[in-house]
Amino acid sequence: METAAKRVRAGDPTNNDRLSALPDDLLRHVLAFLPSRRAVQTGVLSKRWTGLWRSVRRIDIKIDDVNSRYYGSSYSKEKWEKAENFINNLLTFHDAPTLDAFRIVIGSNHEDLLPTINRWVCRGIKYRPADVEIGYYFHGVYKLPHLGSASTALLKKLYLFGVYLDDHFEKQLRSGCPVLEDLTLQECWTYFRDIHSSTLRKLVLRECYGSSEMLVIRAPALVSLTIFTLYRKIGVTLDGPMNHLVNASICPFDGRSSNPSRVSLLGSMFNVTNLELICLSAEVMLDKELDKYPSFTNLKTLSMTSCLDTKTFLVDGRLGSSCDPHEKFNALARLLHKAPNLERLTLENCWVQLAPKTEVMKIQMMQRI
Amino acid sequence: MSESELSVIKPEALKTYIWLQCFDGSIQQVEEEVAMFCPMICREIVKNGTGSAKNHAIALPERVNPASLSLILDYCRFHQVPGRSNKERKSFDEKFVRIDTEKLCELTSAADSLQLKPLVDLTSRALARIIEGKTPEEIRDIFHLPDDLTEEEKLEPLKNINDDPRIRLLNRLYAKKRKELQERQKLKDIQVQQEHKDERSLDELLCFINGDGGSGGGKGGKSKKKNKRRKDAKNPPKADLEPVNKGEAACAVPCNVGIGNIPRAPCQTSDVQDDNEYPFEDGDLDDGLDPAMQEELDREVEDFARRLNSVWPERMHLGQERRIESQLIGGFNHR
Repeated sequence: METAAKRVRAGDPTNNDRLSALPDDLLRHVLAFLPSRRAVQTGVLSKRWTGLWRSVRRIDIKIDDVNSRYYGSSYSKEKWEKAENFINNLLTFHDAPTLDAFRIVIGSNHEDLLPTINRWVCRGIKYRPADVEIGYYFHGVYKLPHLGSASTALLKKLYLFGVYLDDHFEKQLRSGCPVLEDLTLQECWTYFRDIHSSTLRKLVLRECYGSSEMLVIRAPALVSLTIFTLYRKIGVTLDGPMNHLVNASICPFDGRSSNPSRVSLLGSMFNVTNLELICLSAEVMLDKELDKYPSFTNLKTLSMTSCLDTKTFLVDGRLGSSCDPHEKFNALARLLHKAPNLERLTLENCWVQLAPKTEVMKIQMMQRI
Repeated sequence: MSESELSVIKPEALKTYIWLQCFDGSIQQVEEEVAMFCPMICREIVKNGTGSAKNHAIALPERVNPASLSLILDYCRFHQVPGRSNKERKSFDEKFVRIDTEKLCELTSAADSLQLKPLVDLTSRALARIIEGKTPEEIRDIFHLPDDLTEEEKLEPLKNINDDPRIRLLNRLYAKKRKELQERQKLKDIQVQQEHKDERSLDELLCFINGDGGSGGGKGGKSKKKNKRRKDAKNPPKADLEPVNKGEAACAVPCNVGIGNIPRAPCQTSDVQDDNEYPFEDGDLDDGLDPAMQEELDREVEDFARRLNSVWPERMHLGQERRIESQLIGGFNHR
C-alpha cells in the first residue's frame, strides 16, 4: 500500500493521474466553470496544465474589496495594482479563438482607473462572446464604452449592473445585436428612450434610474418580462403586439409617474399566462382606461403582492382613503372580471393579513360583485 | 395464443431492450427509452441498427467502464421521465455527483465520450467545485497529478509562450526602447552593444531619425512618427520621454550640420533598407493580425510603453537584457 502511494507521489503519469483520461478540451470545460483567477492558478499543477488556462472559453474577472455595494471601499492601491497586473496579463496571454462568456465584476474603483476598466471590457467584448456580464458595484458611474457592432454580433445574453447607458446603447440594441435574446439591466442609469429588439425573448429591468422620458419597449418576440420598482421619473410602456408574452412581473411603483402609463402597462399584459403584480394600486385597476384593453383570456396564474393599496399617492390634493376595503374589492373584482380563465390567485400583503388564496376566493369575489 | 393471454404478456414482452457492450467485453441490457436518452447510443440504434440482440450489442467507447456505465444509465433513467419537476431534477443531480473523486473523473470521461452533454456539464461543474479553493498541492493530491514542473517553471507560469504575436510585438517595443536609449548613450560616447536584429551603424540610425523628421521614408517613417506622437500625447507628465525626443531632435541637428562626412545620398539609398529592416512594426504586423486586434494591441502597447518608463528596471527580467540594463540605467540616471 505504502509503496503504491509513494509511486503516485513520485509522479507516475500514465497510471495514476486520475484526469489523464480526460481530453484537454474537457479539462478546459471544467476550467470554464472556475473564476479566471483560479483557472490561471492551475497552470502550476503539472506540465499538462501549464497552458490549458490560456484557451479556456470563458473569462471571469472580479475585482472586489467589498461584499456590499454601498460600504464603499477606499480601494487599497496595492491590491488594485495586483489585480490590474493580473488582468492585463490574463487578457494579453489568453488565446482562445472565441469566448463563450465574458464576465467582469468591479467592486472597487478609483477615478483614474475607468480607462483601464474600459480597456478590459473592450478587450473582452472583442472576442465576440455570446454571454456578457458587466457589473459595476461601486459608487459613481461607469459608462459603458461604445461597442462595435462586430463585437456584439454573437451576443445572446447581456447582464448589466450599475452601468450608465445612453442613446448609443439604444442604437446598439436595435441594430448591432442580431441574436440578443436575454437582457437584464439592474440598477442601471437608463438615459435612452427605447428598447427595440426583434429577437429579445427575456427582458428584466430592475431598479433602474432614469431620464425624464417614457421608456418604450418594442420587443414583439418577448416571452418573459420583468419590470421592477423603476425609479425613473417617467414610467415604461410597451409598444406593439406582444403575442408571445407568457410570463410577466410588474412593479411600476413610482410616486411621480402618472396613472395612464401604469394602466397601459397593465393593459398590455392581456396575452400573459402568468402575471405577477407588485405594488399596483387599486386606482390603476379601477381606471376606466383599462376597459379599452382586451380580456386577459390566457391568464391562468395571478399573484398580487402589496397591491390594492389606495393610499400611495395624492388624489385631487388629498390622500386617497387609506384602507377602504370596498375600493379594494371593487378593484380586485374588476381585475378578475377581466380574467375569465383564471385558475390560481395569490394575494399577499394586500389586506392587513397575508392571504394566499385559490380559486375558492375568486368565486367568492365574483359573487360579491 | 388467446387474446387474454396476449394482453397479460404485453407489457413485459413488448418492452424492448438494448444491449450495450463495454470495452472489456461485459454486456449490459437496458430499456430502450433509457438508452435513447443518450445521443450516441440513439444514433447507433437508428443508423446502424445495432443493439437489438445480445450478439449485436453496441460497442461503447473505451473510456466507458462498467461502473460508469451503470451510473450513466441511472442518470438517463431518471431524467428521461418527462413529468419530473425542475426541483426534483436538481436535487437528484446534486446527490448524483456526491461520489468519490476517482469515480467522478471516470464518470466525466465516460459522459464525454458518449456525448451526453447535460451530464458532462454536471460532472464538470462538480470537478470545478472540487478544484476551487484548494492549493495546488491539495489539487495534485486529490487528482494524483504528477508534480513535474521545476521550481522555476512554477514561479513564472507565463514564461514559455514566446511564439505569441503579442509577445513578439512587446519584445519589439522593448527593442525599440532600448535602441532609443542606446542612441542617447552613443551621443554621450558610451559604448553600447548592438541588439539582435538591428545591425545598422550609428550613421544609418541618425540618418533615419533625421529622415523621419524630414522626408519620412515610407511606412516605417510614418509609423515611427505616429508612435512618437502618440507617446508624446500620452505621457506629458513623464519626464522620461521628453528627453528622448529632445535627444533625437538634438541628434537630428548634428546630422544635418555637424557630421559633415555623411552626405544626404546615402540616407536616400538607405531609406529602402530602412523600410525593410527597421520598420518591422508594420511589416511584421501583417502576419495574421487583423486591424481590430492591431488597434487593440496598439493600445496595449501604449500602456506598456507607459509602464516601461515608470518601472523600467522591473520589466527587464529576461536574461540577456540584464547586462544592457545596468549600463542603460546608469545612462538613464544621468538625467
